[in-house]
Amino acid sequence: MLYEKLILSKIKNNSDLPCLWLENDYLSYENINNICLNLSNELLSLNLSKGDRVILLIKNSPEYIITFLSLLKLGVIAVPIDHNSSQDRINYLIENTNAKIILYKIDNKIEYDISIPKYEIKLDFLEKQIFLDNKKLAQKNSEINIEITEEDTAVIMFSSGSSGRPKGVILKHRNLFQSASNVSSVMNFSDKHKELVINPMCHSGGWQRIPATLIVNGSIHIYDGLLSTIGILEDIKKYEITGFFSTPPILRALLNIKKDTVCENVKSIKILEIGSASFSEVEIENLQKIFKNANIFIHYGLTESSRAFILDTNKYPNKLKTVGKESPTVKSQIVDENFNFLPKNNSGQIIIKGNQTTENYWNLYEEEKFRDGWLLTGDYGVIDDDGFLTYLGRKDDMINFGGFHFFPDEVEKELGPIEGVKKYTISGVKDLKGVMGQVPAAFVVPEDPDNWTQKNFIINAKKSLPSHMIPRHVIQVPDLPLTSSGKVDRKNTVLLYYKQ
Amino acid sequence: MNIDEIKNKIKSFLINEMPNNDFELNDSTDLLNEWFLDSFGIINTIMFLETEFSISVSRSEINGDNFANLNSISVYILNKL
Repeated sequence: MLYEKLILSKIKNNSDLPCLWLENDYLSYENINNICLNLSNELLSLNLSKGDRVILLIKNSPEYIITFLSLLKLGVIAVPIDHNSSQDRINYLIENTNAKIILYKIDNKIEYDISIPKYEIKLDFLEKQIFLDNKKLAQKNSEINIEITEEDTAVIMFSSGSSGRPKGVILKHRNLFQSASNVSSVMNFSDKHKELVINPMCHSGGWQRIPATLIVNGSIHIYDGLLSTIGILEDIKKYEITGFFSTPPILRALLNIKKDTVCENVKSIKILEIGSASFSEVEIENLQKIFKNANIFIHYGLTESSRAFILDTNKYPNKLKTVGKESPTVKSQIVDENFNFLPKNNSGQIIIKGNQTTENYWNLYEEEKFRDGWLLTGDYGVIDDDGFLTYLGRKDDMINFGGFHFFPDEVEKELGPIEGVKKYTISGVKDLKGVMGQVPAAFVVPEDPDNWTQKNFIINAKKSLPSHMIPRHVIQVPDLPLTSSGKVDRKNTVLLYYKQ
Repeated sequence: MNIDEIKNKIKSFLINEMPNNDFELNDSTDLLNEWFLDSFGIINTIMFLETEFSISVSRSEINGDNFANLNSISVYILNKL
Protein backbone atom coordinates (compact mmCIF):
# COMPACT_ATOMS: atom_id res chain seq x y z
CA MET A 1 0.00 0.00 0.00
CA LEU A 2 2.62 2.48 1.13
CA TYR A 3 5.12 1.09 -1.38
CA GLU A 4 2.79 1.94 -4.28
CA LYS A 5 2.38 5.49 -3.06
CA LEU A 6 6.10 6.03 -2.52
CA ILE A 7 7.64 4.25 -5.50
CA LEU A 8 5.34 2.60 -8.05
CA SER A 9 3.13 5.60 -8.72
CA LYS A 10 6.20 7.63 -9.70
CA ILE A 11 7.46 5.34 -12.44
CA LYS A 12 4.51 5.70 -14.80
CA ASN A 13 5.28 9.31 -15.69
CA ASN A 14 9.04 9.51 -15.52
CA SER A 15 11.27 6.45 -15.51
CA ASP A 16 14.46 8.39 -14.85
CA LEU A 17 13.39 10.46 -11.86
CA PRO A 18 16.31 10.58 -9.37
CA CYS A 19 15.49 8.94 -6.05
CA LEU A 20 18.68 8.06 -4.17
CA TRP A 21 22.05 9.74 -4.60
CA LEU A 22 25.56 8.46 -4.02
CA GLU A 23 27.83 11.42 -4.63
CA ASN A 24 26.95 12.47 -8.18
CA ASP A 25 25.36 9.19 -9.28
CA TYR A 26 21.78 8.35 -8.63
CA LEU A 27 19.31 5.52 -8.65
CA SER A 28 16.02 6.47 -10.26
CA TYR A 29 12.65 5.51 -8.83
CA GLU A 30 12.52 2.84 -11.53
CA ASN A 31 15.95 1.50 -10.55
CA ILE A 32 14.82 1.35 -6.93
CA ASN A 33 11.67 -0.49 -7.92
CA ASN A 34 13.66 -3.07 -9.89
CA ILE A 35 16.11 -3.62 -7.04
CA CYS A 36 13.27 -3.93 -4.52
CA LEU A 37 11.55 -6.44 -6.77
CA ASN A 38 14.68 -8.59 -6.85
CA LEU A 39 15.17 -8.40 -3.11
CA SER A 40 11.50 -9.03 -2.32
CA ASN A 41 11.48 -12.15 -4.47
CA GLU A 42 14.60 -13.45 -2.77
CA LEU A 43 13.11 -12.78 0.68
CA LEU A 44 9.99 -14.70 -0.34
CA SER A 45 12.19 -17.66 -1.16
CA LEU A 46 13.42 -17.55 2.47
CA ASN A 47 9.86 -18.44 3.47
CA LEU A 48 8.98 -15.01 4.74
CA SER A 49 5.33 -14.20 4.59
CA LYS A 50 3.05 -11.29 5.39
CA GLY A 51 3.08 -10.37 9.08
CA ASP A 52 6.46 -12.00 9.82
CA ARG A 53 9.02 -9.85 11.64
CA VAL A 54 12.48 -9.14 10.28
CA ILE A 55 15.15 -7.29 12.22
CA LEU A 56 17.05 -4.59 10.34
CA LEU A 57 20.52 -4.15 11.77
CA ILE A 58 21.58 -1.80 9.02
CA LYS A 59 23.53 1.43 9.32
CA ASN A 60 22.35 4.54 7.49
CA SER A 61 22.88 3.58 3.87
CA PRO A 62 21.01 3.07 0.58
CA GLU A 63 20.65 -0.55 1.67
CA TYR A 64 18.53 0.54 4.64
CA ILE A 65 15.99 2.29 2.43
CA ILE A 66 15.88 -0.47 -0.17
CA THR A 67 15.43 -3.17 2.45
CA PHE A 68 12.71 -1.26 4.27
CA LEU A 69 10.83 -0.63 1.02
CA SER A 70 11.16 -4.30 -0.01
CA LEU A 71 9.63 -5.40 3.28
CA LEU A 72 6.77 -2.93 2.79
CA LYS A 73 6.11 -4.56 -0.56
CA LEU A 74 5.82 -7.98 1.07
CA GLY A 75 3.78 -6.91 4.07
CA VAL A 76 6.61 -8.18 6.24
CA ILE A 77 7.10 -6.13 9.41
CA ALA A 78 10.42 -4.32 9.78
CA VAL A 79 11.99 -4.15 13.24
CA PRO A 80 14.82 -1.58 12.96
CA ILE A 81 17.57 -1.60 15.53
CA ASP A 82 20.54 0.72 15.95
CA HIS A 83 23.61 -0.84 14.32
CA ASN A 84 25.63 -0.12 17.46
CA SER A 85 23.21 -1.99 19.72
CA SER A 86 24.36 -4.23 22.52
CA GLN A 87 24.13 -8.00 22.28
CA ASP A 88 21.57 -7.88 25.08
CA ARG A 89 19.26 -5.54 23.17
CA ILE A 90 19.48 -7.63 20.00
CA ASN A 91 18.67 -10.80 21.94
CA TYR A 92 15.72 -9.06 23.57
CA LEU A 93 14.29 -7.91 20.24
CA ILE A 94 14.72 -11.30 18.59
CA GLU A 95 12.89 -12.96 21.45
CA ASN A 96 10.25 -10.29 21.91
CA THR A 97 9.24 -10.10 18.25
CA ASN A 98 9.93 -13.73 17.41
CA ALA A 99 11.78 -12.42 14.36
CA LYS A 100 12.48 -14.90 11.57
CA ILE A 101 15.70 -13.44 10.22
CA ILE A 102 18.11 -10.53 10.58
CA LEU A 103 19.19 -8.44 7.62
CA TYR A 104 22.39 -6.56 8.40
CA LYS A 105 24.99 -4.13 7.17
CA ILE A 106 27.39 -2.88 9.78
CA ASP A 107 30.95 -1.67 9.58
CA ASN A 108 32.13 -1.89 13.14
CA LYS A 109 34.16 -4.72 14.55
CA ILE A 110 31.58 -5.97 17.00
CA GLU A 111 30.81 -9.64 16.49
CA TYR A 112 27.24 -10.43 17.39
CA ASP A 113 26.12 -13.86 18.44
CA ILE A 114 22.84 -14.16 16.56
CA SER A 115 20.47 -17.04 17.23
CA ILE A 116 18.40 -16.75 14.02
CA PRO A 117 19.47 -16.79 10.34
CA LYS A 118 21.27 -13.61 9.31
CA TYR A 119 21.94 -12.22 5.86
CA GLU A 120 24.21 -9.41 4.83
CA ILE A 121 22.70 -6.88 2.46
CA LYS A 122 24.97 -5.14 0.01
CA LEU A 123 24.23 -2.83 -2.87
CA ASP A 124 26.47 -2.24 -5.88
CA PHE A 125 25.26 1.27 -6.54
CA LEU A 126 26.83 1.77 -9.94
CA GLU A 127 25.79 -1.63 -11.28
CA LYS A 128 22.37 -1.25 -9.65
CA GLN A 129 22.65 -4.74 -8.21
CA ILE A 130 21.67 -6.02 -4.81
CA PHE A 131 23.50 -8.86 -3.04
CA LEU A 132 22.35 -11.09 -0.20
CA ASP A 133 25.29 -12.75 1.56
CA ASN A 134 27.42 -11.95 -1.49
CA LYS A 135 24.96 -13.65 -3.81
CA LYS A 136 23.97 -11.42 -6.71
CA LEU A 137 20.20 -11.48 -6.96
CA ALA A 138 18.70 -12.31 -10.33
CA GLN A 139 16.61 -9.82 -12.25
CA LYS A 140 12.92 -10.50 -11.70
CA ASN A 141 10.22 -9.11 -13.90
CA SER A 142 7.14 -10.60 -12.30
CA GLU A 143 5.35 -8.32 -9.85
CA ILE A 144 4.60 -9.61 -6.38
CA ASN A 145 0.90 -9.72 -5.67
CA ILE A 146 0.39 -9.65 -1.95
CA GLU A 147 -2.62 -7.72 -0.80
CA ILE A 148 -1.63 -5.12 1.73
CA THR A 149 -4.04 -2.68 3.30
CA GLU A 150 -3.40 0.55 5.15
CA GLU A 151 -4.31 -1.23 8.38
CA ASP A 152 -1.45 -3.73 8.07
CA THR A 153 1.55 -3.20 10.32
CA ALA A 154 4.59 -1.81 8.53
CA VAL A 155 7.15 -1.44 11.29
CA ILE A 156 7.73 -1.93 15.00
CA MET A 157 9.98 0.85 16.28
CA PHE A 158 11.43 0.18 19.68
CA SER A 159 11.87 3.10 22.01
CA SER A 160 15.32 3.63 23.46
CA GLY A 161 13.97 2.29 26.74
CA SER A 162 15.19 4.86 29.19
CA SER A 163 12.92 3.29 31.78
CA GLY A 164 12.66 -0.46 31.87
CA ARG A 165 12.68 -2.61 28.76
CA PRO A 166 12.29 -1.15 25.26
CA LYS A 167 8.71 -0.79 24.07
CA GLY A 168 7.78 -1.69 20.49
CA VAL A 169 5.62 0.97 18.86
CA ILE A 170 3.44 -0.57 16.17
CA LEU A 171 3.09 1.65 13.12
CA LYS A 172 0.76 0.70 10.31
CA HIS A 173 1.07 1.63 6.65
CA ARG A 174 -1.58 4.27 7.35
CA ASN A 175 0.42 5.78 10.23
CA LEU A 176 3.60 6.07 8.17
CA PHE A 177 1.80 7.55 5.20
CA GLN A 178 0.04 10.17 7.31
CA SER A 179 3.28 11.25 9.05
CA ALA A 180 5.04 11.53 5.71
CA SER A 181 2.17 13.44 4.21
CA ASN A 182 2.07 15.82 7.20
CA VAL A 183 5.78 16.57 6.96
CA SER A 184 5.75 17.18 3.23
CA SER A 185 2.57 19.27 3.19
CA VAL A 186 3.16 21.45 6.27
CA MET A 187 6.81 22.06 5.37
CA ASN A 188 6.06 22.58 1.68
CA PHE A 189 8.36 19.93 0.22
CA SER A 190 8.52 20.27 -3.58
CA ASP A 191 9.60 17.82 -6.26
CA LYS A 192 12.98 19.62 -6.21
CA HIS A 193 13.46 18.63 -2.58
CA LYS A 194 16.87 17.05 -1.95
CA GLU A 195 17.13 15.61 1.53
CA LEU A 196 20.33 15.06 3.50
CA VAL A 197 19.90 12.25 6.01
CA ILE A 198 22.11 12.67 9.05
CA ASN A 199 20.02 11.18 11.83
CA PRO A 200 19.69 7.42 12.30
CA MET A 201 16.96 6.01 10.11
CA CYS A 202 16.23 3.35 12.72
CA HIS A 203 14.56 6.10 14.78
CA SER A 204 11.32 7.81 13.91
CA GLY A 205 12.93 11.28 13.63
CA GLY A 206 15.34 10.23 10.90
CA TRP A 207 13.12 7.76 9.07
CA GLN A 208 9.95 9.80 8.61
CA ARG A 209 11.77 12.28 6.36
CA ILE A 210 12.41 9.49 3.82
CA PRO A 211 8.77 8.75 2.89
CA ALA A 212 8.02 12.49 3.16
CA THR A 213 10.62 13.10 0.45
CA LEU A 214 9.50 10.19 -1.74
CA ILE A 215 5.84 11.28 -1.65
CA VAL A 216 6.70 14.52 -3.47
CA ASN A 217 9.10 12.86 -5.97
CA GLY A 218 12.10 14.33 -4.15
CA SER A 219 15.49 12.69 -3.79
CA ILE A 220 17.72 11.57 -0.94
CA HIS A 221 21.40 11.88 -0.11
CA ILE A 222 22.63 9.90 2.89
CA TYR A 223 25.49 11.31 4.95
CA ASP A 224 28.35 8.85 4.83
CA GLY A 225 31.30 8.46 7.17
CA LEU A 226 32.00 9.78 10.64
CA LEU A 227 29.59 12.54 11.53
CA SER A 228 31.18 15.99 11.67
CA THR A 229 29.98 19.55 11.20
CA ILE A 230 32.60 19.98 8.47
CA GLY A 231 31.15 16.97 6.67
CA ILE A 232 27.56 18.21 6.99
CA LEU A 233 28.46 21.63 5.59
CA GLU A 234 30.49 20.10 2.80
CA ASP A 235 27.67 17.75 1.77
CA ILE A 236 25.10 20.54 1.80
CA LYS A 237 27.18 22.72 -0.48
CA LYS A 238 28.53 20.02 -2.78
CA TYR A 239 25.21 18.26 -3.39
CA GLU A 240 23.00 21.37 -3.22
CA ILE A 241 20.93 19.93 -0.43
CA THR A 242 17.61 21.70 0.14
CA GLY A 243 16.54 20.28 3.48
CA PHE A 244 17.45 18.21 6.51
CA PHE A 245 16.25 17.24 9.95
CA SER A 246 18.46 17.61 12.99
CA THR A 247 18.38 17.36 16.74
CA PRO A 248 19.58 20.45 18.67
CA PRO A 249 23.14 19.30 19.58
CA ILE A 250 24.29 19.26 15.94
CA LEU A 251 22.77 22.68 15.31
CA ARG A 252 24.40 24.02 18.47
CA ALA A 253 27.73 22.73 17.14
CA LEU A 254 27.04 24.59 13.87
CA LEU A 255 26.29 27.76 15.85
CA ASN A 256 29.78 27.48 17.33
CA ILE A 257 31.45 27.63 13.93
CA LYS A 258 32.35 30.96 12.33
CA LYS A 259 29.08 32.43 11.07
CA ASP A 260 30.35 33.35 7.59
CA THR A 261 31.62 29.82 6.99
CA VAL A 262 28.24 28.30 7.81
CA CYS A 263 26.29 30.93 5.82
CA GLU A 264 28.44 30.32 2.76
CA ASN A 265 27.78 26.58 2.85
CA VAL A 266 24.06 26.45 3.61
CA LYS A 267 22.68 28.80 0.96
CA SER A 268 20.80 25.97 -0.76
CA ILE A 269 18.87 24.96 2.38
CA LYS A 270 15.19 25.84 2.14
CA ILE A 271 13.75 23.65 4.89
CA LEU A 272 15.36 22.94 8.25
CA GLU A 273 13.46 20.82 10.74
CA ILE A 274 14.39 20.62 14.40
CA GLY A 275 12.95 18.12 16.78
CA SER A 276 13.25 15.86 19.76
CA ALA A 277 14.44 18.33 22.39
CA SER A 278 13.93 21.88 23.50
CA PHE A 279 15.46 24.74 21.59
CA SER A 280 15.25 28.28 22.91
CA GLU A 281 13.85 31.33 21.13
CA VAL A 282 17.30 32.95 21.00
CA GLU A 283 18.81 29.86 19.43
CA ILE A 284 16.09 29.78 16.75
CA GLU A 285 16.76 33.44 15.95
CA ASN A 286 20.49 32.74 15.73
CA LEU A 287 19.83 29.90 13.32
CA GLN A 288 17.61 32.14 11.20
CA LYS A 289 20.56 34.51 10.79
CA ILE A 290 22.70 31.68 9.45
CA PHE A 291 20.15 29.71 7.42
CA LYS A 292 19.07 32.85 5.59
CA ASN A 293 17.19 31.14 2.75
CA ALA A 294 15.53 28.53 4.90
CA ASN A 295 12.26 28.25 6.71
CA ILE A 296 12.85 26.61 10.08
CA PHE A 297 10.29 24.20 11.46
CA ILE A 298 10.15 22.93 15.02
CA HIS A 299 8.19 19.80 15.78
CA TYR A 300 6.80 18.07 18.80
CA GLY A 301 6.19 14.37 18.52
CA LEU A 302 7.17 10.97 19.75
CA THR A 303 7.64 7.63 18.04
CA GLU A 304 4.02 6.84 18.93
CA SER A 305 2.80 9.98 17.16
CA SER A 306 5.40 11.48 14.88
CA ARG A 307 5.33 15.25 14.21
CA ALA A 308 1.99 15.74 15.98
CA PHE A 309 2.65 19.49 16.24
CA ILE A 310 4.73 21.58 13.86
CA LEU A 311 5.76 25.21 14.16
CA ASP A 312 6.42 27.22 11.01
CA THR A 313 8.81 29.84 12.41
CA ASN A 314 8.56 32.15 9.38
CA LYS A 315 4.80 32.23 9.52
CA TYR A 316 4.53 32.60 13.30
CA PRO A 317 7.56 34.60 14.51
CA ASN A 318 5.75 35.53 17.71
CA LYS A 319 5.23 31.88 18.68
CA LEU A 320 8.85 30.76 18.92
CA LYS A 321 8.40 29.55 22.48
CA THR A 322 5.86 26.99 21.28
CA VAL A 323 6.11 23.83 19.20
CA GLY A 324 3.35 24.91 16.86
CA LYS A 325 -0.11 23.72 15.92
CA GLU A 326 -1.70 20.33 15.34
CA SER A 327 -0.62 18.57 12.14
CA PRO A 328 -3.31 17.44 9.67
CA THR A 329 -5.71 14.83 11.18
CA VAL A 330 -4.27 15.34 14.69
CA LYS A 331 -6.62 16.12 17.56
CA SER A 332 -5.22 17.02 20.95
CA GLN A 333 -6.33 17.88 24.45
CA ILE A 334 -4.74 18.75 27.76
CA VAL A 335 -5.99 16.66 30.67
CA ASP A 336 -5.58 16.62 34.42
CA GLU A 337 -4.70 13.55 36.48
CA ASN A 338 -8.31 12.35 36.39
CA PHE A 339 -8.47 12.59 32.61
CA ASN A 340 -10.69 15.68 32.66
CA PHE A 341 -10.23 17.88 29.59
CA LEU A 342 -8.83 21.24 30.67
CA PRO A 343 -9.67 24.64 29.17
CA LYS A 344 -7.08 26.53 27.06
CA ASN A 345 -4.07 28.00 28.84
CA ASN A 346 -4.06 25.31 31.56
CA SER A 347 -1.13 22.96 31.94
CA GLY A 348 -1.57 19.23 32.07
CA GLN A 349 -0.78 16.04 30.21
CA ILE A 350 -0.90 16.17 26.40
CA ILE A 351 -3.16 13.57 24.80
CA ILE A 352 -3.31 12.96 21.05
CA LYS A 353 -5.21 11.08 18.42
CA GLY A 354 -4.82 11.10 14.67
CA ASN A 355 -4.09 9.04 11.61
CA GLN A 356 -0.37 8.97 12.30
CA THR A 357 -0.77 7.87 15.93
CA THR A 358 -0.14 4.30 17.07
CA GLU A 359 -2.93 2.40 18.74
CA ASN A 360 -0.90 -0.11 20.74
CA TYR A 361 2.49 -1.55 21.59
CA TRP A 362 3.86 -4.85 20.46
CA ASN A 363 3.23 -7.64 22.96
CA LEU A 364 2.42 -5.19 25.69
CA TYR A 365 -0.76 -3.69 27.03
CA GLU A 366 -0.22 -0.39 28.78
CA GLU A 367 -3.45 0.74 30.31
CA GLU A 368 -2.12 4.15 31.25
CA LYS A 369 -1.01 4.94 27.66
CA PHE A 370 -4.29 4.49 25.77
CA ARG A 371 -7.79 5.62 26.70
CA ASP A 372 -10.93 6.20 24.62
CA GLY A 373 -8.89 6.31 21.41
CA TRP A 374 -6.39 8.82 22.85
CA LEU A 375 -2.66 8.34 23.26
CA LEU A 376 -1.55 9.60 26.67
CA THR A 377 1.87 10.98 25.87
CA GLY A 378 3.30 11.31 29.38
CA ASP A 379 4.37 14.81 28.29
CA TYR A 380 3.10 17.99 29.86
CA GLY A 381 2.13 21.14 28.03
CA VAL A 382 -0.21 24.09 27.60
CA ILE A 383 -2.31 24.97 24.53
CA ASP A 384 -3.02 28.67 24.05
CA ASP A 385 -6.09 30.38 22.59
CA ASP A 386 -4.65 30.15 19.06
CA GLY A 387 -4.03 26.39 19.34
CA PHE A 388 -0.25 26.57 19.81
CA LEU A 389 1.30 24.04 22.18
CA THR A 390 4.02 24.97 24.65
CA TYR A 391 5.90 21.85 25.64
CA LEU A 392 6.73 21.77 29.32
CA GLY A 393 8.51 18.44 29.62
CA ARG A 394 8.32 14.75 30.40
CA LYS A 395 6.16 13.66 33.28
CA ASP A 396 9.19 11.66 34.47
CA ASP A 397 11.39 14.78 34.43
CA MET A 398 8.98 16.98 36.37
CA ILE A 399 10.64 18.63 39.34
CA ASN A 400 8.66 18.83 42.54
CA PHE A 401 10.33 21.57 44.53
CA GLY A 402 8.47 21.65 47.79
CA GLY A 403 5.11 21.62 45.99
CA PHE A 404 6.13 23.78 43.00
CA HIS A 405 5.85 21.58 39.92
CA PHE A 406 7.83 22.52 36.84
CA PHE A 407 9.93 21.01 34.09
CA PRO A 408 13.63 21.21 33.20
CA ASP A 409 12.69 22.21 29.63
CA GLU A 410 10.74 25.20 30.94
CA VAL A 411 13.77 26.36 32.92
CA GLU A 412 16.14 25.82 29.98
CA LYS A 413 13.86 27.75 27.60
CA GLU A 414 13.61 30.69 29.98
CA LEU A 415 17.35 30.77 30.60
CA GLY A 416 18.40 30.32 26.96
CA PRO A 417 22.12 30.36 26.07
CA ILE A 418 24.41 31.76 28.79
CA GLU A 419 27.64 33.62 28.09
CA GLY A 420 30.69 31.57 29.02
CA VAL A 421 28.70 28.34 29.11
CA LYS A 422 29.18 25.80 26.35
CA LYS A 423 26.11 23.77 27.34
CA TYR A 424 24.06 22.88 30.37
CA THR A 425 21.06 20.94 31.47
CA ILE A 426 18.65 21.24 34.34
CA SER A 427 17.41 18.30 36.36
CA GLY A 428 15.67 17.64 39.63
CA VAL A 429 17.91 16.07 42.28
CA LYS A 430 17.13 14.80 45.74
CA ASP A 431 17.19 17.51 48.38
CA LEU A 432 19.86 16.19 50.70
CA LYS A 433 18.48 18.29 53.54
CA GLY A 434 15.21 16.41 53.15
CA VAL A 435 13.16 19.61 53.22
CA MET A 436 11.99 20.25 49.67
CA GLY A 437 11.83 16.70 48.29
CA GLN A 438 13.62 17.75 45.13
CA VAL A 439 15.63 20.78 44.15
CA PRO A 440 16.55 22.00 40.66
CA ALA A 441 20.21 21.49 39.76
CA ALA A 442 22.20 22.79 36.79
CA PHE A 443 24.89 20.62 35.22
CA VAL A 444 27.15 23.01 33.37
CA VAL A 445 29.93 22.60 30.81
CA PRO A 446 31.80 25.96 30.84
CA GLU A 447 33.65 27.39 27.82
CA ASP A 448 36.72 28.02 29.93
CA PRO A 449 36.64 25.98 33.15
CA ASP A 450 39.56 27.91 34.69
CA ASN A 451 37.83 31.27 34.39
CA TRP A 452 34.31 30.36 35.23
CA THR A 453 32.41 30.40 38.48
CA GLN A 454 29.11 28.99 39.65
CA LYS A 455 28.28 32.50 40.83
CA ASN A 456 28.06 33.77 37.24
CA PHE A 457 25.52 31.12 36.44
CA ILE A 458 23.37 31.92 39.44
CA ILE A 459 23.45 35.68 38.66
CA ASN A 460 22.10 34.90 35.17
CA ALA A 461 19.50 32.53 36.53
CA LYS A 462 18.25 35.09 39.03
CA LYS A 463 17.70 37.60 36.23
CA SER A 464 15.38 35.39 34.23
CA LEU A 465 13.82 32.79 36.52
CA PRO A 466 11.22 32.83 39.27
CA SER A 467 12.80 31.94 42.59
CA HIS A 468 11.60 28.33 42.77
CA MET A 469 13.23 27.53 39.42
CA ILE A 470 16.68 28.90 40.26
CA PRO A 471 19.09 25.96 40.51
CA ARG A 472 20.08 25.23 44.09
CA HIS A 473 23.14 23.35 42.91
CA VAL A 474 25.38 24.35 40.02
CA ILE A 475 27.65 21.46 39.16
CA GLN A 476 30.53 21.87 36.74
CA VAL A 477 30.89 18.83 34.49
CA PRO A 478 33.21 17.92 31.60
CA ASP A 479 30.41 16.90 29.22
CA LEU A 480 26.76 15.93 29.07
CA PRO A 481 25.87 12.38 28.05
CA LEU A 482 23.36 12.01 25.20
CA THR A 483 20.75 9.41 24.39
CA SER A 484 20.96 7.55 21.09
CA SER A 485 18.57 10.04 19.52
CA GLY A 486 20.78 12.99 20.44
CA LYS A 487 18.92 14.39 23.43
CA VAL A 488 20.71 15.21 26.67
CA ASP A 489 20.36 12.16 28.90
CA ARG A 490 19.27 13.82 32.16
CA LYS A 491 19.00 10.62 34.14
CA ASN A 492 22.56 9.60 33.27
CA THR A 493 23.84 13.11 33.91
CA VAL A 494 22.51 12.94 37.46
CA LEU A 495 23.86 9.41 37.96
CA LEU A 496 27.30 10.35 36.67
CA TYR A 497 27.80 13.66 38.41
CA TYR A 498 25.51 14.00 41.40
CA LYS A 499 26.88 12.30 44.48
CA GLN A 500 23.98 11.50 46.75
CA MET B 1 56.00 19.51 19.70
CA ASN B 2 56.77 15.81 19.76
CA ILE B 3 54.36 12.91 19.53
CA ASP B 4 54.25 12.27 23.28
CA GLU B 5 53.30 15.86 24.03
CA ILE B 6 50.54 15.69 21.43
CA LYS B 7 49.33 12.39 22.81
CA ASN B 8 49.21 13.69 26.38
CA LYS B 9 47.17 16.73 25.36
CA ILE B 10 44.63 14.62 23.49
CA LYS B 11 44.52 12.03 26.25
CA SER B 12 43.89 14.68 28.85
CA PHE B 13 41.09 16.12 26.69
CA LEU B 14 39.41 12.74 26.22
CA ILE B 15 39.62 11.79 29.88
CA ASN B 16 38.46 15.14 31.21
CA GLU B 17 35.94 16.14 28.58
CA MET B 18 34.55 12.75 27.64
CA PRO B 19 34.93 10.47 30.61
CA ASN B 20 34.07 6.85 30.03
CA ASN B 21 34.07 4.67 33.09
CA ASP B 22 33.77 1.42 31.19
CA PHE B 23 37.16 1.46 29.49
CA GLU B 24 40.76 2.31 30.21
CA LEU B 25 42.26 4.81 27.78
CA ASN B 26 45.59 3.71 26.41
CA ASP B 27 47.37 4.25 23.09
CA SER B 28 45.41 1.55 21.32
CA THR B 29 41.95 1.85 22.90
CA ASP B 30 39.41 1.63 20.10
CA LEU B 31 37.96 5.15 20.26
CA LEU B 32 35.16 4.69 17.74
CA ASN B 33 33.79 1.48 19.19
CA GLU B 34 34.70 1.80 22.84
CA TRP B 35 35.44 5.32 23.99
CA PHE B 36 33.07 7.69 22.19
CA LEU B 37 29.56 7.28 23.51
CA ASP B 38 27.90 8.86 20.48
CA SER B 39 28.58 10.64 17.21
CA PHE B 40 29.17 13.91 19.04
CA GLY B 41 32.42 12.48 20.38
CA ILE B 42 33.99 12.98 16.96
CA ILE B 43 32.45 16.44 16.50
CA ASN B 44 33.80 17.64 19.85
CA THR B 45 37.21 16.05 19.34
CA ILE B 46 37.65 17.73 15.96
CA MET B 47 36.74 21.12 17.45
CA PHE B 48 39.33 20.55 20.20
CA LEU B 49 42.08 19.50 17.75
CA GLU B 50 41.49 22.51 15.51
CA THR B 51 41.68 24.94 18.42
CA GLU B 52 44.46 23.29 20.40
CA PHE B 53 46.86 22.64 17.52
CA SER B 54 45.75 25.48 15.21
CA ILE B 55 45.09 23.13 12.35
CA SER B 56 42.26 22.70 9.91
CA VAL B 57 40.73 19.24 9.62
CA SER B 58 39.25 18.37 6.25
CA ARG B 59 36.38 15.98 5.59
CA SER B 60 38.56 13.37 3.92
CA GLU B 61 40.80 13.21 6.98
CA ILE B 62 37.90 12.37 9.31
CA ASN B 63 38.05 8.65 8.89
CA GLY B 64 38.39 5.44 10.84
CA ASP B 65 42.14 5.25 10.21
CA ASN B 66 43.05 8.67 11.62
CA PHE B 67 40.55 8.50 14.49
CA ALA B 68 41.00 4.83 15.38
CA ASN B 69 42.95 5.39 18.60
CA LEU B 70 45.10 7.82 20.54
CA ASN B 71 48.19 6.76 18.64
CA SER B 72 46.71 7.27 15.19
CA ILE B 73 45.25 10.69 16.03
CA SER B 74 48.62 11.80 17.42
CA VAL B 75 50.48 10.67 14.30
CA TYR B 76 47.90 12.42 12.16
CA ILE B 77 48.31 15.68 14.12
CA LEU B 78 52.13 15.46 14.03
CA ASN B 79 52.00 15.20 10.25
CA LYS B 80 49.79 18.27 10.06
CA LEU B 81 52.08 20.50 12.16
